Amino acid sequence: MDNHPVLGYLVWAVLIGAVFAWEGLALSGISGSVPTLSATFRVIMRYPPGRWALFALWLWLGWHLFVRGWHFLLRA
Amino acid sequence: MSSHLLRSDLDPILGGYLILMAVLAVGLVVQRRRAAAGKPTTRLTGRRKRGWSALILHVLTDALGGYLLLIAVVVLYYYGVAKVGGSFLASAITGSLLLLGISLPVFIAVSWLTQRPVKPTFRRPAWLGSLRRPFPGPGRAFRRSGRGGKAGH
Repeated sequence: MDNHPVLGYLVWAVLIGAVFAWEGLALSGISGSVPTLSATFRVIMRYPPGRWALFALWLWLGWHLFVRGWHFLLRA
Repeated sequence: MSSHLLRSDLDPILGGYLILMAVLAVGLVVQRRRAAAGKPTTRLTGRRKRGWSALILHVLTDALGGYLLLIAVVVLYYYGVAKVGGSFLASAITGSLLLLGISLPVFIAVSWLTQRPVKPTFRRPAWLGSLRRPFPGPGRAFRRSGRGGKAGH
């Protein structure tokens, strides 16, 4: 963990900031055509394949963010 | 841009972003201080040492803490911001519990699949013992370790 470069944290901060900016832009209605995140997910989940794809993405994200980081506990 | 727009839409978004970044930064600083002091990554790691029990305990505490935080946010939103119609609260509580119930066994199973010790299936015949190996192969059981054995922490 100590070896992670600061740039990596900055990239994550920018990516998360981009998601928040998208939501803010959509809610403010300045652009007029940008959908909110909930509207986007609603469209994706309208069909079963989209629902399964989102579920798989959610599992993949949780696995990488919350579980894989603890695997060092299994190493001798 | 009107002040109403700023107050109703952009302030919560900016506030949420800053709170999230602050929480992540505090977690990072605490973890780095513990590492610099030579302490285990968390207090649980120190108590449980290593192994499957430590991993399962960590995943369960992460899941439980995350679930309780989510429910706290949902309840605060429901009573403090907007009373959403229908069975919003009940759906949030039972739905996220169901997702946890599905995902946790999957995570444990995938952890076992990726971290289990794998024994080589090919054994070098005894009569080849005196011959030189053309390339260094795995001579003993090794562990799969995801991406080239690089630890996440």
